Amino acid sequence: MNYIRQILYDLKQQPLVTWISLIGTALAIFLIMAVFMVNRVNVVEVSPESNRSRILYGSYMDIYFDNGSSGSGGLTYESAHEIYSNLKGIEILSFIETWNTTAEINVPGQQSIDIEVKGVDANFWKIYDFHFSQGVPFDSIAVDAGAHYAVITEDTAVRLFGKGENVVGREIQIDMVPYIITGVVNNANPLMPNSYARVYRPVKLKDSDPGWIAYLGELGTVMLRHDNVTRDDIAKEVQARYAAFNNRLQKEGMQAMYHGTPFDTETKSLAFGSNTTPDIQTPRRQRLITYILLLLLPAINLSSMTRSRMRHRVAEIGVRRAFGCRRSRIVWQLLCENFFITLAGGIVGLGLSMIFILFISNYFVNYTGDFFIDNFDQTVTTPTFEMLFNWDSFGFALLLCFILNLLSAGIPAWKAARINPARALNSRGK
Amino acid sequence: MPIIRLEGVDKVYRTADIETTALENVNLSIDKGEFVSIMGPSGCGKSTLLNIIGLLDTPTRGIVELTGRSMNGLSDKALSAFRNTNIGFVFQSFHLIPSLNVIDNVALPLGYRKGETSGERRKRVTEVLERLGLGHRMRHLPSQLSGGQCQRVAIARAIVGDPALILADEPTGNLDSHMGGEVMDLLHQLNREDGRTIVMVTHNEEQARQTDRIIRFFDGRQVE
Amino acid sequence: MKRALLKQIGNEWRDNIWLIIELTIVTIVIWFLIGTISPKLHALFQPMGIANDYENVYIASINWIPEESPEFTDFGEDDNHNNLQDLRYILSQFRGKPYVEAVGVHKNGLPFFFSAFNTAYRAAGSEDSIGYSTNQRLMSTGMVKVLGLQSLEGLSTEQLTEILEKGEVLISNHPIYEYTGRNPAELVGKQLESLYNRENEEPELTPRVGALIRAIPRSEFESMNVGTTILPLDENNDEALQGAWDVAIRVKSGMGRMLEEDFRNDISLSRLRNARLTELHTLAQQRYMTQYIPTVELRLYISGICFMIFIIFLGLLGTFWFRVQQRTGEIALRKVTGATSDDIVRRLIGEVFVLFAIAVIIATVITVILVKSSVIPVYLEYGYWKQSVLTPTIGTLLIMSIAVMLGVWFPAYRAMRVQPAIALKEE
Repeated sequence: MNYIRQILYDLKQQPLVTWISLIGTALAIFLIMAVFMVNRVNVVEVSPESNRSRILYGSYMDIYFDNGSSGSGGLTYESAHEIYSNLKGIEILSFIETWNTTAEINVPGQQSIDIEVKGVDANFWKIYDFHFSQGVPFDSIAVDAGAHYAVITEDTAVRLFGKGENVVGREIQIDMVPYIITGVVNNANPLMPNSYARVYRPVKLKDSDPGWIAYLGELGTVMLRHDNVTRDDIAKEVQARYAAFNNRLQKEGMQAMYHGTPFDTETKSLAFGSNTTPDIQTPRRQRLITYILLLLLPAINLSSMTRSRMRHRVAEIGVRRAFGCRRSRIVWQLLCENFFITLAGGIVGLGLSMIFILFISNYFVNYTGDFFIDNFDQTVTTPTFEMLFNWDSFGFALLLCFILNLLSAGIPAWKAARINPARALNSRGK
Repeated sequence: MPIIRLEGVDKVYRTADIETTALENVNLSIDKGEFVSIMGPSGCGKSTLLNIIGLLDTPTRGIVELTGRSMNGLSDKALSAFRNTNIGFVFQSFHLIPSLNVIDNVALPLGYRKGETSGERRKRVTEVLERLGLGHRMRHLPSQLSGGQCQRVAIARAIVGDPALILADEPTGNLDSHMGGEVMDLLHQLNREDGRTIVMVTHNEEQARQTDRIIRFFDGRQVE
Repeated sequence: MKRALLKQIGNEWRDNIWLIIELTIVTIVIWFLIGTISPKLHALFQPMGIANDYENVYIASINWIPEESPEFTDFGEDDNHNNLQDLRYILSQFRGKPYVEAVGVHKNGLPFFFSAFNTAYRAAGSEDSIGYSTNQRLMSTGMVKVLGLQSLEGLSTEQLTEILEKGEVLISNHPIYEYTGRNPAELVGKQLESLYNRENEEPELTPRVGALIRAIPRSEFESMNVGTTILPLDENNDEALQGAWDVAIRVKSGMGRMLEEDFRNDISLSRLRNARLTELHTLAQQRYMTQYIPTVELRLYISGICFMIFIIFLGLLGTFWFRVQQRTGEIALRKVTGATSDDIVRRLIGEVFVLFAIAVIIATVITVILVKSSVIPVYLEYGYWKQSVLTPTIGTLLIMSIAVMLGVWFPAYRAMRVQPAIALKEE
């Protein structure tokens, strides 16, 4: 209670310095939390990717020829099967198209719209927890038979058929080819590009189109690992598969480069291109430097503010010392008082960062994880409240306030406590 | 046994260029229950002496004994604890904490000791304030009080911890003669009724004459 | 006066050290932030090589109805030719509209797409010729007018169209000519050969170079380090037309609405049997989409710089406000002894700039170390020093000076208003 009284008193006595302290704190927390939450998008576990900690990807193939040329892309069913099928640590394996295609979708006889389509198999629906608002997913029999079935998202259903329609069993055309809708999902999220599309259809496995190099195709794999194995264990297995694969390729004058697969979701989001090993360290280091800068610079400012606020209270510190207050207690008291200012600023900052992320961050942040986009929808995408509102964010914000408080008030408080009380009492002040 | 005993106390202030001697070879003994005033011109070292007695400053040389114990070389923790239980301070400019109300200001010393519930503390604070005629001002902030009331609050704060020794540095210096007289009466009352030892720095010859003993300082030396 | 200033800075060294640290960090960070966006900023000020009324240029993808569709028309063996004839008919439909100015087809011919057919060319059979890398763009003759290609030799759109019609090649200038002091005009009239040709293979030659045009980069953010080579795409040749990606249409200024409406309502503009045009949109929309990410990144970096400025502003404001408050007596005394408000302000600003100068020196040393140890990559290669060093340095000094002036302004204003009589009395 006295802490709050002290803040109000400071606000009245030294409005400029106290306000700047509050604003500076809010700004620092706002920026760091914004960086933190933007980055969380690649890690957070919400549906349909609630299993992220166990989901792994083997999406690319990079092949070198003896004559020096090379090529990379997705996998074929053959190469995907050879490398990723029946791994010991894997519970479920799913084959999907590595890249979404933009296709024209229309209800027969009506205008078409251009949206993203993904080819997936039946296991896809077991790895990701999609919510079906209507119907069911297509099963493995349909996938093997190459049936023209489709699962569409709720918003697509509304765009094609209007609101409130039961669309299961209805026909749509994908690039002029008819498909029957088997289900509608309502939680596909464009910020989760691995599971996201607006229309899902059975992937063509056996006759999937091989690219200009055999073993390069359009397929990728998604895996759900067992709880009791680590990604590194599986990576060792995959590496051994690559070695075996290369034994065979050698005879054809080729070599497949191993880039550290399978990737977890965060690593996959950093995989720029199919022929590179994603570098997870550099972005982490950059983030750390960003955090340090965003903490340190405001802290230097706040420290000078805190000092000037404290200089007005030198006499008070002298009195407290005279009546038997120990130095450590003075430091503690000043830190606690200042922590309330930091906390007040922190709450404002956290609120601001949420507002920023939810409403305007797409103006500053590229959430698509891509170098270029070909879909207008992607430019208006921001994280949902569900992705932001969780206890880690609050915990992190609180920790930040704590650090910021130590950085900005630590030295001034320590110095204030060390002033000779006799001299402190001689300074001006009532 | 004297409550305060100084022996051969020197205090020298050093800055980069100058060395100033504030006290030189002070020998002093004050008995329990005495009311002593210290007089002398400005800058003669009387405030420095009070600070050294109050353990707010350390002598450059010499022995400081309070209640028969040597205070030389004690840690900050031990000194703080000693001040808290044995010494009460009254300052010329009151030094009330502006953001705290009267109760909280008076309760300040009690916050730095252990073993009392907040209820007990509150009771003691109230008792002291009632005794000093401030019962109706308990929720006021210092800025809402007159100078005389401020000094009475400050005295309440000085005695709330029941110290044997009260150090007062020109307690009436900022007050008019009427209010100053009230404060002096109060100090005498504390000396007589509670048996507290009081050491007071003052410029006022008349107030000094009412005390048991006058110690005069000139240029860092005790002259009387 | 100067010695007194330095002495005062020395006396308050504790406060000043923090300020110097802050100024140093911020200077370094701003330098690297500007360094990162500098190539993009430089590119932004370069011409796109085409007319900039992007909203008057429409693009529609060429698509074919697949065999598995029930709507597929089977022409038997003549599938290909018949399909292409149908596409030609659709193109002619557009050409007949009064609001359409020009129609063309292309393969990698449009900017604001990220595809690139990079090749390195030099004049065929000439050892003396400079090799340079270039992006191949294939365009039918109508594209010259659709895009508004810009001649480097003052040729008109009609003349450029004619040259492309003759089957000749249009090439752009390339930075390498600037650096070597040669003129790309030396290639006009010659055929080009690819530098990637294998040794014992017959080199594949392009047609003759007919004229010079401005290069067309892939986006406004791409620095022009790759030239452009425009190869003719003959609409009447089946094989060539089959490779075309999109139809591009220039409408008369402001008449795009009519095209959009016709495209929506008149099926004959979007489909004939198997031939289909889809995804009609303007080049302006394409530009927005393609440049969305670099634009967003640019905004992010610029906000980073703004934040740094704000930090400096707050830091100086806080410290100097307090300092002026502490020095009120001193300032009053100076005023009494004859100093004007200007003198006081000048002294304060002088103090800040001495600190800033110290910070710049330290920042320079640290930056050089960081760059040399390649902790942060900076492209110091041939031809990039302007973007990598000059712009960040000038930009940083400029931005920091402004931030510093802003930060010291309020405290200075406060110092100016010190009333000597009142201030001294309070002391």
